[in-house]
Amino acid sequence: MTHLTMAFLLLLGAATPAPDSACPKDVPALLAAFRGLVGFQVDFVEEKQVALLKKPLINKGRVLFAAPDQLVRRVDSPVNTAVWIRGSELWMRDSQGTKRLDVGQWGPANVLINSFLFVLRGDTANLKKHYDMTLACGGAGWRLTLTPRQADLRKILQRMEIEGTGAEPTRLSLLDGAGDLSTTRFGTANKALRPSVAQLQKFFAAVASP
Amino acid sequence: MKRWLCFYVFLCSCGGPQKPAWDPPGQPQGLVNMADVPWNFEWRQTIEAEYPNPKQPNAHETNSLEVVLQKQGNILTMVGLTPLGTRAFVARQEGVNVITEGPHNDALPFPPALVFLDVNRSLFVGINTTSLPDGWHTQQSHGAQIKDLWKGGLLVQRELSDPVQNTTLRIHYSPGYKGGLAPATVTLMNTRFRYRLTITTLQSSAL
Repeated sequence: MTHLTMAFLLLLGAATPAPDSACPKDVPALLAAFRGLVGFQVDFVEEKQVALLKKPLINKGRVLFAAPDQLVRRVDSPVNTAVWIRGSELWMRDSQGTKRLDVGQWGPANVLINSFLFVLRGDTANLKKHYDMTLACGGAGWRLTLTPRQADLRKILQRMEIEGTGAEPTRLSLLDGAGDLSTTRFGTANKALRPSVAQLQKFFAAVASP
Repeated sequence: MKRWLCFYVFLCSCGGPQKPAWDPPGQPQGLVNMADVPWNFEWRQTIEAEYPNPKQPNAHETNSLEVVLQKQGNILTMVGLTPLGTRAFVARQEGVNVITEGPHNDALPFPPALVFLDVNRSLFVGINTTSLPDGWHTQQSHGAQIKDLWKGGLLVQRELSDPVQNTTLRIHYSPGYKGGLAPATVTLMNTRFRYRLTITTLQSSAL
């Protein structure tokens, strides 16, 4: 890590509580704010830096969330794919078709897949079970850092960080077990939505398939 | 391998269609020394594969995955990605040696040596940055008989025969290919193992 990067991270993650009133006083307060979320739609840009590759991979798409446990992440560029997390099921769709997987039995991989949802629905119990959590504030927002507690989860995820304002994530970063860093930046969310299953299905099915 | 790890590695491979039951070569002959390839690149691609069902030879299985192919210096790296964007596998060719690393490489739907042999024969064997005149051209290179069709300065079709392995590859490049320039689509048919690959370039950059 370069000194510049470290300085930037330190700047972002100043340990001293910010006087900003937008900063939740602690992790439970932040998660309580998320429990009021019923759904949203938001555009994203993901930059994935694979340790072995010289240039980052860029994905652009849109997320549709319906509380408490449904989320569709659709990549529109450079390739059209979608993943739908619905309870203990994971649906995937691409040009080859649609597949359904029962992720309930997949242990830490299932935890990883659902971790962002744990935050979005303010699921304190699951987050405490699987992660050590720290909250930092700076500027107009907050940053929640999740560090896996169990060794098997640490094999696939070193750290997850979510930044946001209020109950709206603005950035999600995952440092995985292989050292690859994925950073997703979200646009402004439309939080007036409460997507129905039919709307989720339509959004998911927008990916062309045979 | 634990099921969850299997899931993480390659969401489609476990409990799905079986891998083709072919007999891949060990360290394949016929690879181009990467140090002799003057261009460097990073291409992000999807591969759609169609191959015989091992249990029903007349039926076909299909599978797809996303890969990044990076050539830099004497190293060719292939990184496979899961549908969630996580790393599924890594395979490398250093010089003429194929190297697989890490616990995840049984997730690769094809034996790495075979994958690199196809990549070499499609992109590197008997190919450089100079275009040939329109028409058919034949050559012998790296143990293979090659018949190429060039059109408008680009290689558009190739038939490659390997008499030792009794294999013929039929390759179509769209709109065409020459060294270092990513083709939009490559279709490759292997007559011995009866598989067909459609490789689509999503993003490309020179390094």
